[in-house]
Amino acid sequence: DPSVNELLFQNKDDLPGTVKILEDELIRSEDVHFRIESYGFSLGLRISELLLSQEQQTAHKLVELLDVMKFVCRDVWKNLYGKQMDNLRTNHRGTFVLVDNSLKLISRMSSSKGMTDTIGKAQPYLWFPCGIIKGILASLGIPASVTAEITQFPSVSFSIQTSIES
Amino acid sequence: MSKTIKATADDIWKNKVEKINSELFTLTYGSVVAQLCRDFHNDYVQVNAQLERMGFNIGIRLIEDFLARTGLGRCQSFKETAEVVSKIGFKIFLNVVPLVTNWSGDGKQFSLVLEENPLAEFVELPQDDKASRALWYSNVLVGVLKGALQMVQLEVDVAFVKDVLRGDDATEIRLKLIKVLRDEVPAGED
Repeated sequence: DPSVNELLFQNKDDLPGTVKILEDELIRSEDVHFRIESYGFSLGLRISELLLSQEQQTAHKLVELLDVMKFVCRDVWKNLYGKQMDNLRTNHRGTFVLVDNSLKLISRMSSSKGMTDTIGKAQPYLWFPCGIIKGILASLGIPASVTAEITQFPSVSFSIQTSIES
Repeated sequence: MSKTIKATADDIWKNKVEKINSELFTLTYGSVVAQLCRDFHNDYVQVNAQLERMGFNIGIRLIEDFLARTGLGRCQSFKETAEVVSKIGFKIFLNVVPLVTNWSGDGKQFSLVLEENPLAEFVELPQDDKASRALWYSNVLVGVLKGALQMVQLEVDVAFVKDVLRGDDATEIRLKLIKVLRDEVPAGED
């Protein structure tokens, strides 16, 4: 069987100057989702190490789960996307919601077919930062599941579910 | 001439290019290569080919962005193409200026020597001999160059010949002009 990769390459509409490929339903396949998330995950593991070695002081402060989330909101996001997260909420039972009001990855996207279509096509791009957050948490010994939702374009909420009580 | 090229490129780099964090860039590329190595069970020949294919897809799109940012017209010679690729192309997208060197006698082949390679920062190849003999880690660049040049009617053969990651003394990409493609006007258009 040809891989999803192979099938995507065979898409005849994927011509220079077009974004037709984003309409290929394979983009939304689990295979692609997993792959994009792993790119982010692998990046998260490494960037965490890099940032903590550069800023030893921060490293000492990462005691509570909340501190780790603040590290993601401030240091990581600032470093990767040039801005901090805009909001951080928690239910104090292991669930956190991080909000970026204008996620750089998708903020300049615009579909000619309107907002619903823009949001649909931007969705696969969110698997990458989800993977990054997951990777960073994993590097600090916190297993978590991370999902993202576009609330009001280009505002994105990341929901993080950890099994650790805080 | 070369001074104006440099000034133009500096200006574009400073004012017209949105920058991203270099670690984000480098580590993302690293993740992609690592994933491909896993996908192809460390068959590095296939990894090279896949990276080139990905680069080609980038290149055929990137050229449009390049032309829009620079407003450059057609190059008059392959020599000029070499200058533009190095001093403007690499400069505005990667902020490095590879050395253009080793011209062949007929003026159809040259090398780009990268003193710095932003893709390969923090990178070490696996210790196994196989990787350091077969993998061209930055092979995406080969595809980008091929794709971009093809869109301006230049069919060019591009390949890495040296890489410091493999223990070579430099990182060198060889470009060879095969032919200048004819402008083809689609049927029904004047």
